[in-house]
Amino acid sequence: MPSLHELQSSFADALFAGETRVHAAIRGGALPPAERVAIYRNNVREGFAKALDAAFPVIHQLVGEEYFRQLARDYQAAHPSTRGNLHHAGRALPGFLRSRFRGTPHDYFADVAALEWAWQEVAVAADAAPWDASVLAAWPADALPGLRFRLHPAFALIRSPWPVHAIWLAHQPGGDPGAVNLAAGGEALAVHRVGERIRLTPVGDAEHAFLAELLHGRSFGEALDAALALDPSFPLDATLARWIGFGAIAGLHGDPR
Amino acid sequence: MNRPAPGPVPAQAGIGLRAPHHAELIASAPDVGWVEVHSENFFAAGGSSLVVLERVRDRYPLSLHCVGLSLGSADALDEDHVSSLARLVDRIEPALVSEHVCWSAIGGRHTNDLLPMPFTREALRHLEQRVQHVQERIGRRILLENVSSYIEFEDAEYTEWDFIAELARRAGCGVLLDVNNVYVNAMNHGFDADAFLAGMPPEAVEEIHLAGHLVQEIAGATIRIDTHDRPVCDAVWRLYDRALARFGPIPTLIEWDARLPALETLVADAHAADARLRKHHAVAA
Repeated sequence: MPSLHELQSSFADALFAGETRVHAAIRGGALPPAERVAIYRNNVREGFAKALDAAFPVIHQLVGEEYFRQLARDYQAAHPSTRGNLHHAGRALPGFLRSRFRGTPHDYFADVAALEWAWQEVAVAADAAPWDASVLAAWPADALPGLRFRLHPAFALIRSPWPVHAIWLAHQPGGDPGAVNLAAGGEALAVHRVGERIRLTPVGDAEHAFLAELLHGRSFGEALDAALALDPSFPLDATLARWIGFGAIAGLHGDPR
Repeated sequence: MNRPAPGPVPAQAGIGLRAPHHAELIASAPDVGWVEVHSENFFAAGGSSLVVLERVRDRYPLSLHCVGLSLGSADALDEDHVSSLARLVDRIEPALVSEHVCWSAIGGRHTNDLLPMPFTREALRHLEQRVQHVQERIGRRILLENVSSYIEFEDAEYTEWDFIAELARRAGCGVLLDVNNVYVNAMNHGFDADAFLAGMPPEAVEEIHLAGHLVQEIAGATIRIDTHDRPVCDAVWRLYDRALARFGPIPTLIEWDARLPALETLVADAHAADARLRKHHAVAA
């Protein structure tokens, strides 16, 4: 009998690489070892595809059942699961789709997948206590540009040259996939939680730049400069009030309180 | 949110709860004795899934059923995974925690499937240590479930039932007896399902699973595949009756994982199991 490690390694080689070394350790009987291993190989593929389907229902609709299965198989070969929890399995799919479809009419698949993955991440991100924005009043005005906001852990930004939000909406229950106009231009949106609920909120270019700077840990002053560079009349107060109202700001880095 | 959880899992039928039924279960609160979920579906840092699970836990005795610890793997135990489970157990305070007698990953390659163990002394020692470690990490006894298999390894040193009984004895864990898996393996490997039941120490069996399986013809052979996508078959119901006769009334779960039916179908299945449980309650009383 091979050691436990050797037996399991040869079994995995059979599942993932079609090697036959493990067959000698398997009782045949009514069914040859290769057919028995194939049952497991199929189960492993099915489980992986099911996890991808749960995370990327819009991509599934866009490519269709047959292609989705092939895609899941190709993606699994390139990015096999590395965790005991399949919920992580889709992390690299946006990049995989980007490589596969770059320069094709389906270039937008990658951005739709990025939106779906952001939804998955935001759904399970940590909670944060509501932040009391009145603490800002305690800071001298000349200190404000140097402050760095800490955004809620359940906050992500998506920007695409494609109308990804419209595509996503059209593929929700009751949506009309036929109504999507791919030539409608790009969109930016925030994927975030308000309480327990996940929201997709469209944002303008300057607002996106402002939030992206904050998300990457840069100062309030830098974020404002980035927004003003795109829109000299960027409505700072209204924008801040909106995102504080959504609970998207969780605090200040280095808050002395 | 800090209300004490409902008590231990009763000797009644419960249902496996999957995401498509979350909202309906909370809204309609069907009459079932308890609920089981897959632990890994709730390994979230925050967000609505944990809030949903707390609501379920506040209404029903809850069991956390793990599918990803890979207890039987020769790889080092994934301590991050164990920590995620420990956090969930601390937050939810479930009535039961369970895993499988299986392995899922080797050399960092994860199959995310429940793969069969070789029933050897080496594997038994290995599982014993790992089960004890997990029980210490989460601060409670766990139940281990027998899995369906399509393979038996040459040179096995134990029968499946002796392996599991010995593991429960050595590791101090309980047994989650999946009656469907006993039947599937008995048919796939040509052993007597009643010998499996007779080999289980009655004091160790604390939970029963019931599910549906697929009968498939492959290369001229008949193989039963554990699919959890259809009703429990008559032969498994009959084996369940014999299990209740041996073990007495035991908390019993109706499990569907694919082609999920309406919630009311799961509830009806649970009531069918309850009817059988009541007969054995009457005998036990």
